[in-house]
Amino acid sequence: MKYKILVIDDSASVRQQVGDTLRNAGFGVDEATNGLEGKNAIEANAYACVICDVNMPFMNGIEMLEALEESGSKKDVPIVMLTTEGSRELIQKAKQAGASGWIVKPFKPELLVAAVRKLTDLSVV
Amino acid sequence: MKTTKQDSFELKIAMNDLQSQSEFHPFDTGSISELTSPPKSSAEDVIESEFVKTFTELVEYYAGKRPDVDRCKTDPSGETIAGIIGFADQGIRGSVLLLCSKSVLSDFAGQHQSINTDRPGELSMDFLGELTNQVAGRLKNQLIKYGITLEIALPMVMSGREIEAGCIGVCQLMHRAKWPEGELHALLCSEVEPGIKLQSKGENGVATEGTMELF
Repeated sequence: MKYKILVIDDSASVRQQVGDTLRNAGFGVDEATNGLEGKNAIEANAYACVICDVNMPFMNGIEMLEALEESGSKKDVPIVMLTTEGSRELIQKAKQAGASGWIVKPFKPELLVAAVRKLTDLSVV
Repeated sequence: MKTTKQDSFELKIAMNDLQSQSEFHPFDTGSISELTSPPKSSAEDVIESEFVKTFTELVEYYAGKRPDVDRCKTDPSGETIAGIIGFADQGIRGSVLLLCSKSVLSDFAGQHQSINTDRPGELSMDFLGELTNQVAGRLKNQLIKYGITLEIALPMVMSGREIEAGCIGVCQLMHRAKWPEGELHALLCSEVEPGIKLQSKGENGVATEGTMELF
């Protein structure tokens, strides 16, 4: 069985880049284009990990974390923020809202795969 | 990410629409030759310096080689794609616009992602929007050490022929990054209220590009 990862980003090229990286590492990948779609997908499916952008239309990544915490539907799935933002204030806010990690774009594919493997506790996929 | 495909006349309308949609209102359009850019303040010098550093590093990352970056006054010719994003903080506002030819963008994008779907053109345009977003994001990270925390809008992408970009009444600087396979133009428009001085407070402590933190 393939472990499924949800990639949430409003940029199609980022979703493709992240998706290809994870698929090449043996994961299954679902996509969502904003925080609201992402929240609905997390509530409806079981994901091993979520990769989420911060700045998106309709609902941004931090708002999605807060909404999941508030509704109690995060289901302990690790959520890694993948963003151009690097401010400590924002990183702290995401951490408090339940994020498991923070990667600053542009990302290194091997680093992303390592993060997902570590958070899903999968040394081999 | 919003994309539009227009000819050059309609493109100007689209950019005016963007102005009306944005809470930052940093833009107006027209030929650069028609526009007058006011003299820069020292704060604008700081923003320009950080912008050039940011732009150069990002092009180097994606092109795989360090580009030559110079100031220029001309827009790219022919079929062009433009990515635009606004930014603002108290007393500071502006925008970043990236422009390049479709062929250069396809080569550029292809080096870091396999565009293998049935809509490669759309993905190339989306990639320019993401690149514009990353330039603005890096600029934001660099300006934190000056006590500035920019709010950044979402990027918008458009394509057309003979795109002429400019801003009226604010400092505007066009830079061009050149590497053997192509060139990418970047227009920085910025407006800083008189009296605002930017002084570095040393290390900004931000997470740097390409790094990962697990909590």
